[in-house]
Amino acid sequence: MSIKITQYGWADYWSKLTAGFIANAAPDVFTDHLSKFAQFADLKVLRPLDELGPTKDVKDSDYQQGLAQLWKGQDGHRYGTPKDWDTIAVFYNPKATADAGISDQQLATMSWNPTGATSSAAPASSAPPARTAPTSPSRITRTSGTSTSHPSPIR
Amino acid sequence: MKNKTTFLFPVTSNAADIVALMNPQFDSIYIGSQSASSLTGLNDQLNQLFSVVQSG
Repeated sequence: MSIKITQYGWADYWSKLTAGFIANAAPDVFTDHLSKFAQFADLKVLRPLDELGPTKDVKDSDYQQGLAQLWKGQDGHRYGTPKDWDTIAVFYNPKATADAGISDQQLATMSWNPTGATSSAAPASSAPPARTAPTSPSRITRTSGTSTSHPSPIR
Repeated sequence: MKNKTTFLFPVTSNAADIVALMNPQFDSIYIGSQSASSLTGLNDQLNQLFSVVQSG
């Protein structure tokens, strides 16, 4: 077996990956993203890791609490495993936000999807900065970069 | 994490559709042809995207 590693810029990477799926020329293993994999799973271009020999024994408990569950699709299959994780924080200029009529309290209790009728999602943190880490997995909109990514075989 | 002041990264479906809606809108804001308040309409569009996809 030979392994060929390639790297691309962020935007090119996802375009090329998607094109590769369509052209049946996708990589066997690739770095995915929590903001991307659900659509790939919906399009059925990922193989469920829980049905592949080498990865079927992966357990949620193998990882930091909560991380591995995020990679399970709505169908319950595992479509990736964490390869790393980090935290994302929001920084703001208190003068600018105060001038705009936004209080620190509002920022501290904001959710990921401000108008969501289905606001069962995002538990707001008690302090303004710092996001990402153990709580319950939730499925909502918001693109933003973190790198809880993983290798994921392709069909 | 020990103090539970963080939460897990939100999983997102419809990623390509979201990017297709968000990129031109943010580009317009960056070059000054749209105001930041236009994001409210964008947010509505994004929410609609999910209701359309879920019901379809």
